[in-house]
Amino acid sequence: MYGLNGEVDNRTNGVLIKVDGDAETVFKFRDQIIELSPAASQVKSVEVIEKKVSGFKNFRIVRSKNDVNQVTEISPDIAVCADCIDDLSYDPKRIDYPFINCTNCGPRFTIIEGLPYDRDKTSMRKFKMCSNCASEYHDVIDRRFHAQPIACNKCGPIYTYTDSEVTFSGIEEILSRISARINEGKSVAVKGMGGYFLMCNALDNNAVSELREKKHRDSKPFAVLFRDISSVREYCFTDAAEENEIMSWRRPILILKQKKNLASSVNSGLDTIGSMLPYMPLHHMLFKKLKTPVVVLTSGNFFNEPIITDDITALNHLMPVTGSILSYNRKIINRTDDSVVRIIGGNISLIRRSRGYVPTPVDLDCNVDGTIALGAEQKNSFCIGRNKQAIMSQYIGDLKTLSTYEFFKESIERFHRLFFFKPQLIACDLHPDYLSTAYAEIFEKELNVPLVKVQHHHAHIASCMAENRINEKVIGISMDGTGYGPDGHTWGSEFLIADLKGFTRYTHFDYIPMPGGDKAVDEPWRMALSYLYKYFGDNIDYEVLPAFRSVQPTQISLVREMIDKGINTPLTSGAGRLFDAASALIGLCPVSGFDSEAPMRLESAINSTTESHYPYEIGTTVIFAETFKAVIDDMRSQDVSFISAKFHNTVALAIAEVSERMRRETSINKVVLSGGVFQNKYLLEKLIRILIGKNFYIYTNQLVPANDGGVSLGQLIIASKNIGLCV
Amino acid sequence: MCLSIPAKVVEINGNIAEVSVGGTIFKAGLQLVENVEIGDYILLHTGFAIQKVSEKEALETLKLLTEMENAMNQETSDEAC
Amino acid sequence: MKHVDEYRNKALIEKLAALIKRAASRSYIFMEVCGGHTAAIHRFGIPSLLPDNVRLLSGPGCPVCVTNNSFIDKAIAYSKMEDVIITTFGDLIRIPGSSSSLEKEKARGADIRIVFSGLEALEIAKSGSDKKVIFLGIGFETTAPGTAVTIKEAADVGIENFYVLSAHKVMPPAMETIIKEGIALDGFICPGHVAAITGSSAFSFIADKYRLGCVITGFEPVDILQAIYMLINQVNNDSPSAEIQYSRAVTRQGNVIAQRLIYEVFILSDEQWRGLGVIPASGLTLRKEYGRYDAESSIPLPPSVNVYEEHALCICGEILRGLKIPPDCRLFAGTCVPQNPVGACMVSNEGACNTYYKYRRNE
Repeated sequence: MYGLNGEVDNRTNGVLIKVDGDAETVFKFRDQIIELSPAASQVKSVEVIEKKVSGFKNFRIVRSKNDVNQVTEISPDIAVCADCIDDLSYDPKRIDYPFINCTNCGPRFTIIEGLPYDRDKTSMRKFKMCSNCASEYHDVIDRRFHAQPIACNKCGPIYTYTDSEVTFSGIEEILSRISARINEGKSVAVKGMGGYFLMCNALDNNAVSELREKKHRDSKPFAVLFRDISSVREYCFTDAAEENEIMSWRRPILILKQKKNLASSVNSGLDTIGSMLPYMPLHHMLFKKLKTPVVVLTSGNFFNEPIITDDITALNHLMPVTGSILSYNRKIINRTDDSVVRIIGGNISLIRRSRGYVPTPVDLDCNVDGTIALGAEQKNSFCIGRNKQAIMSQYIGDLKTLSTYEFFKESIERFHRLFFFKPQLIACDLHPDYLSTAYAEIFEKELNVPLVKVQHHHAHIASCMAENRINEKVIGISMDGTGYGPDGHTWGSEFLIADLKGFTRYTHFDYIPMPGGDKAVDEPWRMALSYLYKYFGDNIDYEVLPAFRSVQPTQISLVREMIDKGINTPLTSGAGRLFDAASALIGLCPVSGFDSEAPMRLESAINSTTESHYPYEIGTTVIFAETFKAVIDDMRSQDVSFISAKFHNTVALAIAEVSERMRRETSINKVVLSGGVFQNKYLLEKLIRILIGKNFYIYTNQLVPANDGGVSLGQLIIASKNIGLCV
Repeated sequence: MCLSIPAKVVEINGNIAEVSVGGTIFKAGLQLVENVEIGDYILLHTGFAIQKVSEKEALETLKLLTEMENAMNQETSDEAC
Repeated sequence: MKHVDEYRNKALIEKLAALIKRAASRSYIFMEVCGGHTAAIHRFGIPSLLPDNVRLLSGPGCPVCVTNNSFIDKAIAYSKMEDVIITTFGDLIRIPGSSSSLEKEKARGADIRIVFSGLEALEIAKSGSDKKVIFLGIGFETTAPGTAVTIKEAADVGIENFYVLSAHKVMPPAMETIIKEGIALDGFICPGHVAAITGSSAFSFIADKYRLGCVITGFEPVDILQAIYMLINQVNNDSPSAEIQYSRAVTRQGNVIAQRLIYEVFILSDEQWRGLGVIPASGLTLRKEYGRYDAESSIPLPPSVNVYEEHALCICGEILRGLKIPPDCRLFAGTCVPQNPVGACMVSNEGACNTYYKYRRNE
């Protein structure tokens, strides 16, 4: 294009380009590097140094010198690109080749076994390139130049489909059979990129409810895969930021507001749909034959178990569920779930960080080399430090079952190998019973390296500080369901004055008894009862309240007795419990069918733009007694939508008022918001509006989850800071 | 767009001057100002010099502010006694 | 950088903040009417330096924000013509019209180019193209003289294919409209660069007629704080006058050359301001003598029905009048964000909503 001569040297710490030309042309060339860079690339900086170069007769690529001590970055998996989709129809060697990929797209993290990134170090190793592919691989101009997973119909992996007893190969036949099955209202198990998935028609309620039953699934909403963006727009409301993200090469599941109904069993009455666009060639090819524009695509696993990646396990466990299974003969090396994103206030809120994001590092301002942080319990991820970068693992899951713990350990070992990691420092949660804590303690003894235990909510705040490169005292507000408090109680609504080393607790929501401990989490009516009982005792006729209509009177008196006698009623300040109580009180969710169902239903109910709020009290703690009283009053005449909005407004205002008090006493103007409760879009957007109105600077998590999936990043940086590694 | 930045005149070619803002060179039309010399500071706005920055006035302002500051320091130290 | 760094001196800033705190014996509300001031005030964290009883309001100072949809719609209509090149300042490119924006049209293939100066647009017209180059002239008295120079140059050299679609406005009538609305105000932080052109005398009516404080202010934190201090003193001593804080750039009579040029090329006309309605003698339209350079007179547009529906909850108009601040808007920082703007106040870099949104720290 520019007629420049020179050479390109692809090095491990960057790309060195020597180019022979005048200043103006060279600068134009520089600009084009940035402008024309592929979608999945990230040009961090381009520096131009003037030097005398000579002797270049053409433009060539220097043979890379393999420097094994320098670790290169591993790319996240990239959704199949538009050029490859075109190739499916036009490239003679790859017509309908369902594993098509190129330098700009395809599986990466899920198939990598080791570094430096080379075909031999991936599960493509056993597929030897045919001569055609080999020549493209070595052709500098070709889009498949050095594309490690390159293959074609002749030499690449193949799909096989098993239906009852018979197995089929041949992609045409397979696609016809699968689409027929889905059109008929049946389901199929499908081997995806990071694991096995279950698929059925999202518009067919019989199909969806049957799948739900067979999967023994609670009522947790299913994610769906749409044919294209116009189908998304038909069923969901979207704005520019949401469309940008759903169409990005990362292809996460986007939580969008529902416009038109899917089968009711998909999201069980919630007003949001977890929507995805196709990211594998198979998806595109299948939609050409499907009548429906949208299918359920849910992970192939059973309650709380990691997604299945092994073919034999899939055959044994998923075949009985669906009656048919689609597989292929390339191994999935790194198990990876689909990622989940919500756009809040125009910015990304990562609910689950996995496929498409992992293992992109988080750049930090300080050295965290050799630190490993084991994370928390729910939605666990761990994190390792390499120089000034934090590398988060993929979503592991709720670290409560043996199989998840095995996955956790296996992943840790993998990361050690992949990133040549040598642990010098361990960090974990303060909670004595977490499996991650148990592992950390074993690790500490085995390796004889220091272990730092980090308070849960401090870690949340620190994860947000790390992302935003803050290294000073902040007003840290961490709102979630549960986290171990150093005072022995369950914390969860913490207003901290925190820096990366430590914190002081300014205040929190009032401590409330949790009758039955964990049972109170599963049965939110217990929390509703507990709040009312604490503040109003016998002055309320509990049995007539609609909230307790489905509860036996004997249960109600039993719970009251438990609270009175302090039997199995730990205290909690968890904000999640406050929302549970409100949700149960107004009759939305007395019993939870899945994690966070009660607050999700409470948020989902809002369809009002009211700015009004309930009274609340800020004393030594934040007390919502008056709030609950007013809610009960409102329940006589107002609808649930209005009450829910008012309740959310109340919480936002209370948080803002405490922030103001904190600022008055400390002169700190920066507010850091983290914790799973801030995945509530209505609440966070409202709170941000109010805080901006008071001229606060506000920071939220965007690179790692605000929920417990992001805790390991906070643990990492706090531990490193305390040990003096990170200055 | 309301942004006008102080820029130093480094070269004049008829009605167009080359002005420097912290090292970066921009072109400025001189049709709106008179008697501009190299070394003068002008306010640059959408490609035009809209006014000369008065060195004299600038010094006056800073002098006034410093005097205010000193007066305040004096007062507080008086109070401290 | 000279003439900049001195006015960001931390010690001076702290001392001025202390002086203000001491002098502020009652409550004060001051309005600024310049996008540059809105941005500077929040960028330098001025509100957090002021005591609670000194409040700052943002007025209609963002020329892009106060430009009506019909202007963008006309520009879009012109851009659809085969033989037209639209040249515009960058600020306008994302502003929503009734149904589209210049940015969207550019993506669809319209020849729309961003320029930094009217002269640059003229160069495009000169470059031998037989296409019609239309320059979108927006801005207040600071920018209008530049457009005037460009038009005169076009006339001098005899350029036939250069046109201007003018949305230029003058500031004082808008300020008077705000005052007459009866909003509780104690004074104005007056726009320093507009005054560099008009002279401080253009703002004396604020003090003389309405007895409100009036200080012509610069754009660095020391300038703004000094001006607030001066305003407080004007109010305390009941001695309003058009005082100049920004003396290194502003004089009583202003830039006479620029003023002459404006009135040679333009004539005052009644103009629609978003949020303020029609304000008499507030717009700058090309005089008959230069009529051939006026896009609207020279290039007829097909008649169109503009169905303009502002989002029901968008309160850009009230924000421009200082009646509300962005956080008062239900859409702010939720539905309406820079990546997904609903109203002009969020699109423009100088808009109040865009400025307030920067409190949300993003990567």
